[in-house]
Amino acid sequence: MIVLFFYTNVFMFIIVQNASFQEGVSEVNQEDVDRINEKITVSNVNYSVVGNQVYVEAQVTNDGPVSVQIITLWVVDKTAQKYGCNDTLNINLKTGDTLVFTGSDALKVTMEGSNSSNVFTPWFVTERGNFVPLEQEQGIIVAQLAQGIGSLALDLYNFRYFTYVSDQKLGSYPTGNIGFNVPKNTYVAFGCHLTNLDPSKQTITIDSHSLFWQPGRSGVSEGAWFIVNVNVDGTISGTYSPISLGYGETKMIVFASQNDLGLGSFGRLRTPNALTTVATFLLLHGTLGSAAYAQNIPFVSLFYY
Amino acid sequence: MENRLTRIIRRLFFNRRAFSPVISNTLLAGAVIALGFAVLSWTYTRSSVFNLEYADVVEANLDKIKEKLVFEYLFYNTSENTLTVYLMNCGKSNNVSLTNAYLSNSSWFQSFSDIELMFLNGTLTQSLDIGEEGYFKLSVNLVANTGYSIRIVTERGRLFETPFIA
Repeated sequence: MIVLFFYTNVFMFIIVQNASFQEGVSEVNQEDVDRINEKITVSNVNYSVVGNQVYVEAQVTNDGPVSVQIITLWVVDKTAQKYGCNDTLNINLKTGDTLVFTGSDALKVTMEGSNSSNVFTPWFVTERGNFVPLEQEQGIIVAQLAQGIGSLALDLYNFRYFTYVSDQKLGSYPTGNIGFNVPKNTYVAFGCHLTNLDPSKQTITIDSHSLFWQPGRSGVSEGAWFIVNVNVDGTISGTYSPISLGYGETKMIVFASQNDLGLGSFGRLRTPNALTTVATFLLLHGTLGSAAYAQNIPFVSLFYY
Repeated sequence: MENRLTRIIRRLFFNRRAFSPVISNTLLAGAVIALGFAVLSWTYTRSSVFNLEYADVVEANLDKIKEKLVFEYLFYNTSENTLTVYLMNCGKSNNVSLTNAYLSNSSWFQSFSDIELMFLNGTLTQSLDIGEEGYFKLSVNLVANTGYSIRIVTERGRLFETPFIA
């Protein structure tokens, strides 16, 4: 009886412990399967450096079947042989989720002595211990195109014009009217998306001397719509504050004033009172980093109807 | 008083009449039951000790299996001759501490036993809990742009290894 009691007690306990061990092993195996199934796609990667901060812009998508938590971003500056990490990230992505980190949402890594023109190698680390490299393929291709015509690139298909609801307020802002047919003899402002693709990855600042220029041609007067600042409700500011575009950043720039707001006051401008087609140009003026910068972008053709 | 007690004891020893069978059987049964309980208690204690030891071994093995460290980044500073190794505990075991590190290549080997593990903010720590990241530095003279392998051993006996280029 005693021997039976002893063996039963021990035997049952061993069975329970073995079951617990098997459960632990299964848990570890499941962890490995989840780790293998993690799939994160990172696109539209850009870097910029301001002071001791490296700003990483990226679009992150969870293409895998399991949710993913990104906890650390590492950045290695291959040129300066420096590195840094941001271990305060807590990015949670459910299956199919996409998060965009641009502008003020860009991910920051502190690194002294770095420069925008340096070569960076960044990667994310997930909570499960996977590494997700950030590749800058698209940025390189577009930037190579931009080198030929300047550092600011135009999004042709998002060109738009705005009509006014009052003397200094645009209607349907920021949507406007996308297209290249513009009503004649009408007060309008023009909007276009510009992207900073400067190969040296420096910030471009556009000053008040920038304008949307329409050369005169037979029967049509020359016109110039100068750059303005527009509030979110569509109201045009009476003064102008320079607009900055970090590397890879895209902003809609509005041209509305008949006067350079650094030299004069705001005034609306009408389109020509003629059925005609005109060529237009963007004359941009400002700074690239700390150096002077100017660019003339051959622009769109407009038909006034 | 003392004389009376002495008489009683003497009578007990020199009484030639036997106990009755009922009393003797009762005494015998009592002795057997007492002995049985004593053995049962001893058996229970021994089996409990054995079970506890077995549970500890199983738990230790589970913790060991659940340990997982990944090498986040390795940086060799050529001017200071220091290799900084960044790690993360991505397993399911807490208190992962390091006992040894081994550096090697095809023709060379060096071991390190005095490893000072630190959190990323530079605070000294003995171990990394689940999800924590840390690093340690090794003073070593490596040849730049040459392939090496680093192997670390945890206190529980797990081994993690990765190749790198100095």
